[in-house]
Amino acid sequence: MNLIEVNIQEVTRSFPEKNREDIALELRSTIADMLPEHYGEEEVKDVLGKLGSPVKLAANYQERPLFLIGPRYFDIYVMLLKFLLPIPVVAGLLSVIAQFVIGQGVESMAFPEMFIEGLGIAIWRIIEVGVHVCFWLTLYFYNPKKISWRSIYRAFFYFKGDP
Amino acid sequence: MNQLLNSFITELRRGTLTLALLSQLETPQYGYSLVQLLENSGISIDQSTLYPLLRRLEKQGLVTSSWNTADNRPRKYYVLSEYGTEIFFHLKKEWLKNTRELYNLLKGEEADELN
Repeated sequence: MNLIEVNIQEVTRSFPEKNREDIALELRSTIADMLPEHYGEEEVKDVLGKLGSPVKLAANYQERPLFLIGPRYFDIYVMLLKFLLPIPVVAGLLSVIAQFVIGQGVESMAFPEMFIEGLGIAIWRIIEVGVHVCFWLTLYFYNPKKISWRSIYRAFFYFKGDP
Repeated sequence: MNQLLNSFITELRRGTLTLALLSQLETPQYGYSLVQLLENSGISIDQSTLYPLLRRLEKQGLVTSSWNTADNRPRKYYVLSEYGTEIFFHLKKEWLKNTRELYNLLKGEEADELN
């Protein structure tokens, strides 16, 4: 019996208040229809199995696909990523070279040390900027139609319902 | 090959699901009675698709729903609206036309194979 309630809870958890109760009621009645007159835990598990995973059911109810970037935008996303990713490499290298040409704080180093140090900084900077590019681009494509300050805010601080 | 074949079959069936559902809603039905009706006709349906689909059809105005508390447990009944009946009529016509065309196409191929 409890298993049923947990399942229904799991499905309706993220729904807006106004149809949560209605969907829960319908699910409860459907599950009751599927169960035989006398049932134990085995039968309940069987029926819930037939109903499918709560995550899938919830996603179907909300017409919300289970992917971050839909098939419509995936090609453009990959193309832009390929196009934008070399930028941090170039920018990272340039910034390190500039730093060494100006020579702040590296006068005392001998050549091999300087080279290794510079390489380390360059690799680190490339990773750093690369992660930024991937993150912000993905966030943008996550929902290009509805991107707004509010959606960015919500991506960082997840709220149930409206803040 | 089996996996690919299955994905093709799923794709073929996907569009027909709405039509199958609408055809059974000329009389009021509740969720599980629909599953049984469809299964008796040999149409297996993923239940995690069916119930959300019913709700979507209601939102689109093709069906109307009402809670019936006269049964031994409350059940939500769905039935075609006037608009839904009209849509169903046109979809049915389209489906019959399509199947006829496709049948001719496939029959032609079969004849070629035999020659």
